[in-house]
Amino acid sequence: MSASQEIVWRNSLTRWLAAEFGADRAEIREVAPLSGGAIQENWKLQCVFAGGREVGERRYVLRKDARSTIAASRSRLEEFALVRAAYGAGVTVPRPVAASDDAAILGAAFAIYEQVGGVGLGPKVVKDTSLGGDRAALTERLARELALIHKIALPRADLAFLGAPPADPALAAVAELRAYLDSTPFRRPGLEWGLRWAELHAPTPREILLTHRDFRTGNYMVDERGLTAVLDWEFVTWGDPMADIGWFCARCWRFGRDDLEAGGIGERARFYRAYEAASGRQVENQRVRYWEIVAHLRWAAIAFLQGWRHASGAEPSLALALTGRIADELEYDVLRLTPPSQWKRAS
Amino acid sequence: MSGDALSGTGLIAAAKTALAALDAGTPPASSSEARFISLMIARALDVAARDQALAPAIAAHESAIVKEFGAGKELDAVITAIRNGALDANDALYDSLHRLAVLRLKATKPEALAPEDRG
Repeated sequence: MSASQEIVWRNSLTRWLAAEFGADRAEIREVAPLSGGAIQENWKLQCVFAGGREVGERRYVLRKDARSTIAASRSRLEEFALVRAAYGAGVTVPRPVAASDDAAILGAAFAIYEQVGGVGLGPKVVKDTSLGGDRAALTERLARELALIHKIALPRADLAFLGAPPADPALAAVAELRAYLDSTPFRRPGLEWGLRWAELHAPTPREILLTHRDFRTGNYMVDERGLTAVLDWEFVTWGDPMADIGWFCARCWRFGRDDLEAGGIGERARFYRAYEAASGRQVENQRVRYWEIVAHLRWAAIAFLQGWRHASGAEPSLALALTGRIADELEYDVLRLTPPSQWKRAS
Repeated sequence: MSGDALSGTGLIAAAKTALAALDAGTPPASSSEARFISLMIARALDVAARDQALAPAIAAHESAIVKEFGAGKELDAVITAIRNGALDANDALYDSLHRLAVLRLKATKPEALAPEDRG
């Protein structure tokens, strides 16, 4: 963003914030880009308000759509509604402050949240054990947070944009991932092999609840004491709660700590126990293992979508190109997890 | 651009663009971001070098899969056959796909290969 663009951006946002919060006067003292967020632009704001509902000095994070995005991602307004629902359910999320889809203000829809301290980068969270406090406690805390998310159930008029829940979340996931792959020029029979396995081995549908679908190390923040926020609500949908546990435990999200199967930070059994105690729901290990394989498939398909943002010319970026190449490792892992001996034999 | 933009040549082009941006007076926000960009460029060049060495083997292997399982047409025919269930639990296809995935990962991230696949 150029200096002149920033002035326009700042003036426009200042006026909107004052009106939105009923402030007599608003001032944005600092605007700075934040790293992270492959699908959104994230900006740090330091503001001061005279009067109104946000009176005083405030620090926010503004999330705005990037130049290109992926179809799998929810809009900023939908994400805002989801964070508000989670906040209401007691999940540790940044306080949702305001949102607008008026493109006249910043050129794209945006949402503002209270700034939360901490570190979110997955490899750092896994490796730096001075972060997150006691790791056993953090593992249990994350399990309880996920249980809180899974308490959000239908019907929810405020989440009507999520649409009707899928009749069969596993088969819906397979169809969705095939569509993702078909929307790019990348052709990977290894991933198709895995998707066919997932289709044939889909577990019988059971409970359908709100699922985060990106609840993993790298998408929550911690400080030296423990969890500060659960982030990245852009993929939420109604689904199988075991899918979230599978995503959290999948090898691809352990950042090299394969021995710590709960997100590279703790023991799987500890995570399961804490989740069961908080949710009153039994963790079905076989179902979770199924969703772990689907997690590799899903991350591979999303990696290709990200790679295509670069390759299509929509948003040339070395980071996006390299993200596309992550699919190679995931395809290899999927094949190792689904050898012919692991397939149901036709009777 | 196309799907090839993720290949070695495409990665080199993207790395050159990233380097040019660093050189064009658009400095990164912090030294840690500059380090991140430098590491990314180095990684892209490593992958591209391995890609160029392995590209003929990958292409030959992919062609063999098309010939054997896609009636010699194109990769889409193999994919259709997989989706239709015509190749369910097929040992020969699995072995071929696994070997192809090993070749690709040798280019992208050889350290992620299991010991038995590193030869």
